[in-house]
Formats: sequence, structure tokens, C-alpha cells
Amino acid sequence: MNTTIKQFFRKYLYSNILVLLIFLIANLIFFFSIILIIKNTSEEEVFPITEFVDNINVDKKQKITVNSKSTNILKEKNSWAMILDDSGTVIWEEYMPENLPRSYTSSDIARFSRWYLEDFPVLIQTLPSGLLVIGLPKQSIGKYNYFLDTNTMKILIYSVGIFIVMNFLLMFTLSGWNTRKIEKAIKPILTGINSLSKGQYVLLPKKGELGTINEELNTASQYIGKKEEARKDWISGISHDIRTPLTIMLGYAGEIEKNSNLPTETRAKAEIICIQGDKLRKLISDLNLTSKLEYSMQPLNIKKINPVELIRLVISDFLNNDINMKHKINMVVENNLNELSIQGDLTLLSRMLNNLVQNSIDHNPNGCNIVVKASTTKNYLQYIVTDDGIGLSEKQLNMLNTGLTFEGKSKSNDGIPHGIGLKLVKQITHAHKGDVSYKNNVPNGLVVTVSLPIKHVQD
Amino acid sequence: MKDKEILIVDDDLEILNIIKSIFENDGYSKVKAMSSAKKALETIYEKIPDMIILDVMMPEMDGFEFLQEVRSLTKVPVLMLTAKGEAEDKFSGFELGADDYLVKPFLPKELLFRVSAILRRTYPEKNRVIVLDSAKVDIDKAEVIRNHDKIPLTAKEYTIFFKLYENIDKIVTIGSLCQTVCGDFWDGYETTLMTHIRHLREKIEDNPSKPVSIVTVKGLGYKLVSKGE
Repeated sequence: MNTTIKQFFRKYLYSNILVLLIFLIANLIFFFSIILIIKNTSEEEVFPITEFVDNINVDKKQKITVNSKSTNILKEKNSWAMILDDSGTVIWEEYMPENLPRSYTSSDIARFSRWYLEDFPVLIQTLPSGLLVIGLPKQSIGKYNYFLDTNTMKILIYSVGIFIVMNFLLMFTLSGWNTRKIEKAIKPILTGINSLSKGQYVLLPKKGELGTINEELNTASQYIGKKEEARKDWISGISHDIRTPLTIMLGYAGEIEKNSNLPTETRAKAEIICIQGDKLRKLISDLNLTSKLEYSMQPLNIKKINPVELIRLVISDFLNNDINMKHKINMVVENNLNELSIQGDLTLLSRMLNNLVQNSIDHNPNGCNIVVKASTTKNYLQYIVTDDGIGLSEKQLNMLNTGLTFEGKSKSNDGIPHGIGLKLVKQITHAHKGDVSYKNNVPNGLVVTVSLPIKHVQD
Repeated sequence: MKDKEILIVDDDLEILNIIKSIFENDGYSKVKAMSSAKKALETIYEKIPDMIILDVMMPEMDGFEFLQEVRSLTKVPVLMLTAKGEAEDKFSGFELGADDYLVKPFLPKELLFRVSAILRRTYPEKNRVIVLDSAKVDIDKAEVIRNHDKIPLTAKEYTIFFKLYENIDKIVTIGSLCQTVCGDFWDGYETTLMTHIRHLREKIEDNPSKPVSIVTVKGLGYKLVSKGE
């Protein structure tokens, strides 16, 4: 599957987890700050007991005096206070309600220290002189006593740890599961669009939440497929129907040309028919091959190829069949190339070089010198076809290099020679994972460079 | 060679006529043309021709079926004519036993060249002696006749010479020459080939350093030049 789609879902999953992580952290911060706030509302908030105790004075005769500050605190808080001696008798009191006993047993003390003294919530502090008891207004605070042994504490800490870990796990699984679900629904659509853009046939399942979109993609694919099929059939059909008449034409024209009983002028005209007919012949064959390559109907027949012998075969083919010898074709080969071999389709690669040489010949009818050169760069084998003919205009070069003419964006051919032949060069080069570039020769002519990746035979 | 009997089978009458005419104008004296595959088979049962030129796309019986019938009977060389697009892969490796094939439309001289190459290969002439600029080569005896001397060719020299002879007046690339001697894996054989060519020239040429019969086409290969008129 396409890496962008994969990346998209991976990013989606990560952002999902991030969102949940932020959520969890924010919650934890919130939770702990509440605990801190509650903790701050401690006894001191309810009753400033430290300040109160500071203002209690005991003299040498064990006489307890409380200054006005403490009395004011009691007043403010609407509370009362008493101090009990060791036997449980009240030895000092302030604002203490009348109905409360003035003497307590140790079991009484134990009870109210934990719970309430006659519904008064009490605070207790041990002083050197006795036990200070401060009674707060009824209903002002709730008293709860927690008994936590170390074991319980441990369990509590572990539980919090487990709670956080569980949360993380849940977060990962849930968001992962969620992403998977969305991915499952969207993936076929994205792959479908991907294949459509490459011109491949698409058939997606109609089921699922996004089934209708799938169906529409299927329809689009079928529509494109039908059009392509029609085009392909048209090309192969028309080229097939041209073959027989052209065979007959070429045959008779060839006979007239060879017949020595006929006037020279007639024979010369027949020769022209032969040459033009031959061009048509090559055109048909190019047209067929280009359509096959476009629809990937032609499987590559990859074999080990000697790159120098490839040039020899192509050039000798031209020399063996050359009629007028107006064009001189030479080969130049770098020394290190003799050891090199590449993996490729011999028929297609010879066709590619053949078309490039033919292009130079067709484009320079008055003759020119053509050089086919082979050289290597670090990772590429380069075939450079050079001529010293009339070359191409900047516009034409640009079109060939960008491939605009081949995509149907330019309506006129703009004088591009042998358009299909050069399109084929591009297709064959691309089928071999290589590239082709065109530029003008100095001082005149055309330079075409085909770069093919070198694949070593060892691997 | 031109007296060999050639049978052309194609349902298209125009094509049939033009092919017949191409061979007759080139001097072939026994050319038979048939537009019906079934009738053509009947004539083959009666008398087997020396060579068959067969169209692939025919009604009632296509070229491949026809070829199978023929092959059950004889090994006569068959060249198939195809309008391409039709079972092209079947030709790869000539699985069905065709000796060669040609895609329509073809140039008349291409057809003649292919057919004469097949005929030469299938029916080697007896006492074939090639006349070169300064020597004669007896193909069957694999020897060079020069100034009444008879110089034998070694096996490899003969193989190389025969390849050049098959493509007389045409360039044969270094690779194809190496391939005829060593098969598909001929890397590094080029220098040995040059030695064999030098020995061949010593036997054939008057002046081996200025060869006129086995000429070098720089960088590409060699060409055996027939004696000019």
C-alpha cells in the first residue's frame, strides 16, 4: 500500500494517543490539586489552635491564665475551651456550656476525642499542664477517623500505579482499535483512488459503512476501463486492418522499382512509395508496441545483455539495410564497458536505440553524422546518440524533456519528428527504470542521453 | 536454389498474388499459391514442397493448426506470416516448429532474404564453392583452394566462416560471431575471435594485413565480401 496512506494512519494513531495522554495528565493534575486544597483546609483553618495554645500561660503555682487574644479567638469561632488535669477534672474553662459535666472518666475522654462531646466536635491538644479540649460549634465540622496501617498504604500506592498503567493500556488499545476501524473503512477507498490514478482496474467491496463511495469508485474504474479498452481495441484493430493493404502496396511498389523494362522516372516514384510505405510499416509497429507498453501488456523479457553488442546490432542493422548512405553512423565505446553487462529486454532496448538513430535520420533528410556512444557513470549506463544535423527548437526540446507532447496537452505536433518513436524510447527507458533527456549539440545537432541503472550480475 | 518448390498458403488473394510475384520475379521457378488451407493440405499429402510460407490468420483452419498437421508429416521448413497481435508469444522459441516468422507488412527483399537463408540452411548445395577475391572456399570440404593449393580450415575457423557466408555482404557483429562459436556465454571471447579471423585471412587473403574478402567494420564486426562483378 501507498506509504503516504500508511503514514497518515500512523500519524492519526499517534495524535489520538497524544490527545488521550493530555486528557489523562490534565485529570491527574486536577485531582491532585483538589487534594492539596482540601489538605490546606486542615485544623488550623477550622481553629488556629497553635496560636491559641501560645497564649495560655501557666505560672509557678500551676495557675492557668489565658490572655485576651485567645479569648477573642474563642469568641470569633463561637467556641469554648477547657483544660483537664490527669484525673479528668476541669481545671480551667472558658465559655463552656453549663450543661456539660466538669469531670470526665478516661473512657469519656477516649470517646469524645474520637467522636463528639455532647454533639460538640472537639479538638484536643496535650499541654504540659493538662489536656486542652476545644469545643467547636455543633454541626460545624464532620469528624472521620481513618486508620491506615502500612500494608493498606502500600496497597493504596500500588493501586494508584496500577490505575495509571491500566489507563495507559486502555488508551493505547482503544485508540489503536479505533484507528484500525477507520483505517479498515478508508483503506480500500484510498488504495482504490491510488490504483485509479495509475490507470489500474478497481473493484472494491460494496459492504461496509462507506460502501457507497466504494461503489462509485468501482463505477469510475469501469468507465475508465471501457474507454481504455476501446482505445486499445481501436489501435490494434486499425493497425491490423492496415497491415494487409500495406503488404500489397509495398510488394507491388517493390516490383515496379525493380522492373528494368519500365522508365527510370516511374521506377524512382515506386522507390518513393517503398520508402514512405516502410515508414508507415515502422509507425504501425511502434503504435502497437507503445499501446502494449502503456497497458503493461508486454511483459519484459529480462536477460543479461552485453551493452556494447547492443550498439553493434543496432548500427549493423542500419548499415546492412541502408539504401542511400547519406548518414554516417559510428560507435564510440568507453574502455571499461567491455566487462559490463546489464539486465534488460534485448528486443526493447534495440528498438529504443534504433528509434533514436532513426529519429536523427528522419529529422535530417540531407544526411548527417550520427554517433552512438556508450559510457558509464557511478550507477548508470549511458547511451548517448548524437548527430550534427539541424537539431530542435527550445520549445521542442522542452516538450520532449517534460513529456508534454505525449500527454495530449499540446494539440499540434509542433514538428516533433517521429513522435511515437520517441514516446516509445521514453516508455522503454522507464520500463527499465531509466531516464532519457534531450538537448542540442554544439554547434548544431541533437544529443539524446539515455541513462539505465546498472544491475550487477552478481546479485 | 531457385528451383526449389515453394508453397504459399494465405486466404487473401491479393497477398497470395504479390508473394507469388515476388518469388517469381526473383527467379524462383516452382511457386505454388493456395488460398484454402484444406486444399493446400491435400497437395502436401500428395507431394511435399521444399518450403512453405504460411499465413497465421485464416478461416476454417488457422496457420497453427495447419502447421501441426504438416509437422505430423514432414520437417519441411515453414516461414509464418503474422499480422501481429495474434498469439505473438507462440512464436517465441518457435515452439510449434516454424523455422522463422515475418510480421506483415514486410519488405519484399526481407522475405526473399529470409527464405533463401532457410533454403540454404535446409538444402545445402553439393560442391558449394564460394569464389572470393583471391581464393575459393569449398564449403563441404571445409577447405580453401588458393593457387592450386588446398588449405584445410579448423573447426572453429569453419564455424566463423560459415556464419559470415550465411550473411554474405552483410555485417556480422562480433557478438553474433562469438555466439556461434561459444553459445550464449561468450564474454571475453573477442580476442580469441580476432586470432581466428587473422588465421582465416592468412588462408584466404593475398595480403592479410589489407584484407578485401573478410573486411573489418570498425567496432561492429566483420563482413564477407562476395567477388564484385
